[in-house]
Amino acid sequence: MKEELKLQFKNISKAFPGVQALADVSFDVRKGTVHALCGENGAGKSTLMKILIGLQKMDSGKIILDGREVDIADARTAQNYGIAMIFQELQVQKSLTVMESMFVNRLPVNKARLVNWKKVREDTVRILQQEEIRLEPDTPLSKVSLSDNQLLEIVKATTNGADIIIMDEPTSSLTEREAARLLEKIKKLRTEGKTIIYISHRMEEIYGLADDVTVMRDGQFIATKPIEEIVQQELIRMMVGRELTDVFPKHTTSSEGEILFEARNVSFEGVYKNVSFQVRKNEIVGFAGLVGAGRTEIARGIAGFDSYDSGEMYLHNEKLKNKNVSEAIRSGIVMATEDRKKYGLVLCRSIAENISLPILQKISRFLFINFRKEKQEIKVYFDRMRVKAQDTNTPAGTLSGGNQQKVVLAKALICEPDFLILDEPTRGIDVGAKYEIYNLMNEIASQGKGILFISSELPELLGMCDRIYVIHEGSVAGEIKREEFSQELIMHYASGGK
Amino acid sequence: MLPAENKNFREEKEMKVEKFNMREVSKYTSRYGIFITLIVLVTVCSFVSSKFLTASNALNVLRQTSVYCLIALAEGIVIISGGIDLAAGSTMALAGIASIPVCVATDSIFLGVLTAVGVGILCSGISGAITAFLDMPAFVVTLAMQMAIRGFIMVRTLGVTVAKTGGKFKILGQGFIGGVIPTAILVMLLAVIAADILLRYTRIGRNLFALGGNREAAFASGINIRLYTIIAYVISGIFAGLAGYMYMSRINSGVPSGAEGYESNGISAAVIGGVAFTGGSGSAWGIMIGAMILCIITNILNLMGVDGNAQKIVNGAIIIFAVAVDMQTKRRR
Repeated sequence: MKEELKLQFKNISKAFPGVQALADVSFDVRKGTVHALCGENGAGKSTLMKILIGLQKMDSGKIILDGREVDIADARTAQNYGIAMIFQELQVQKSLTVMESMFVNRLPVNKARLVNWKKVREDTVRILQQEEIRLEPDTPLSKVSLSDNQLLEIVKATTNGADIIIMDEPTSSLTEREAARLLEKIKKLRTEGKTIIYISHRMEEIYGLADDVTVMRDGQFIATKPIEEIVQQELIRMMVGRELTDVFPKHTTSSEGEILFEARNVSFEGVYKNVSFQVRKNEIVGFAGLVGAGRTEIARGIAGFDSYDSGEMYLHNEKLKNKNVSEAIRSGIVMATEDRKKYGLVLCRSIAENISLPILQKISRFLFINFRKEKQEIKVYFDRMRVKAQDTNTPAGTLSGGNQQKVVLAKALICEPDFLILDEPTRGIDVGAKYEIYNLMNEIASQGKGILFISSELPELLGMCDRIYVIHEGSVAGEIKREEFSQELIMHYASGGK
Repeated sequence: MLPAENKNFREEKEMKVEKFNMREVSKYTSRYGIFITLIVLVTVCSFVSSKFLTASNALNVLRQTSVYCLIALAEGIVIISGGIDLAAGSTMALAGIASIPVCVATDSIFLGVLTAVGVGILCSGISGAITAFLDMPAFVVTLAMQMAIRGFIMVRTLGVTVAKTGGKFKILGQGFIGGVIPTAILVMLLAVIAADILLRYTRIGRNLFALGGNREAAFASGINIRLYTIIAYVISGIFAGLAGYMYMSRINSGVPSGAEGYESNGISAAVIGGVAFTGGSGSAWGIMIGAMILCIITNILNLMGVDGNAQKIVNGAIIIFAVAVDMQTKRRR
């Protein structure tokens, strides 16, 4: 066993406005190992890695590389220290060709100080052969698969002299075969003496690959252990560990009510497949899963944002054919999207105009808006949501995140949906506003409506839902009833467990 | 209640009142800013040139404003909805020229105007449909349309000015009502009122604002964004066609190279008048005042004897200034 330390984090702290992203994090990474970094969304893994590659500055603490303290001021410094990161969402410049991308920032020049394309081509061909990547130097990256792009990024990093390679959930969008090839590559890098920091939620990968594992939770370091010394159950418990200290107002519910909404084998090529689930009246049903598991995509299909290939959906036992958003709204299905600024609000217009936007047709006679009716309708939901603003003429863009979210909800509720889809309704808003939204959800559910609640915060799902479906790679991996609720079980299904 | 508490309470209340007033003040300056600009401009111009405030000059300016305002409404509506129409000048020319033979043959102003409006709807509608259905940038589509329409005019007229306009064609552009008010100004006012009603009182207007302010959010609210993109261009085409008719009627001839570059006048007037270049905000009355400001500046430069090419430099500077002011006010929010 190699005991030489490659990288040491010492007491690293970092605060963002309102959030302590990292609190006194310290751990060591041994040279020539694969070091798995685990934790829930928001545990601080990404922030720590961004500090390591110079994309963010830490407030306090030290990074020690090969026994010497280093100051990683920017991305370039990190590169010079041999640290490279392969991002989850690869940001490749799609217009470049394979060879241009391979030598970007370090194109060799000839005597006339012009780019020596002959050398670029020869070197690229040599590297591609060496690495057994079947690609032509002239292929544009837009035509290269994600998997090949990842390998190229890794190869680029290593030929650039990187000996610490950080990978953020690299297999999350790969097929099994592609993932296997990537894992082989990672093992090969390890035998070459490179150090790999591997962020993943997938237990089988962590156990098949890692030498050590570090767990983080809520911005804090929990433990670093050799992988042989920790069993999967314990690892998951360390990841989610916190007790449910948040208070959730719980409505009284019967999970035996009549079925309100049902999806039967709904599939959308390459995005989700054979999704079936039910939502009863008075029920709040959760969608749990990792980011990118397909939860939002399924919801978009239900709400008419995108079409789907096959399968059926029913509301009140009537088959739905929601070709677009307005048909979905008319049939009684409304979705409040997770991206307030992109899909939620027209920020330059007033609160009033935003709220009444989906029901203009209803409150118009021919083309003319009935202003009195509009005012009445808006007032009901503006007051009910307790939006903190001078009046409804305030531009939506001037509101705080929590109040913007309330306007988004008001806009959804004004459509009087029977089935309401809430995608991350509490993201980025303060505790008080969260509590108000929870109460509102209970109120809506108690009126005989159904709610599909998508959230990445497990405590909130466990606290609010009557049932939870766990989505894994575009399929329903498991259904959990309230009696069986546990974070461990959700994480088990969400990371591909059976 | 304890006196101290009472005092605190009063202070808080006073602070609130003051804050409220500041808000109101800034709201009013941003709402009536261009109106104030217009008054200042008129005052300054009346000192610069003694001819400026004469009745004949004022009428001249207002008549010129009529055409500028109509084309600015055309541009304003597409810009509000998140697009742009670089073909508006060519559309004007085609609409104006096409209306002349109809006017002559039928001896009807109404049918002439109808023809111009129809041509406007057709030209802009094509731009809108291509933009909407092929998901192409409006900039590219309308730039291509600008060339194509102008080319079509040249092919059909062989570049020869249509001089036979009959007796009625010139009436809207040159005539007076009751011997005092130019018909052109009446046409402009009617158009502005129609546009104002459309933008503020109908759901079409609301949807156009939403579309330009945030396309994705409009989509998520159930608005058919393709349909409304086309609607924006079609409405814009109505005003462009009318602008073309008024332009040709004022000079009482169909000039194939006429209204060249009017799209940039329209864009300038709209932006000066408070239409956000990024879409989502603006008003019909603001657009009218923007057109007035633009015309007054052109007029005063003429009165001062500034040469036409030098005027273009000034116009260029004005566009940059107007957009810069717009961006600054947005950033402050």
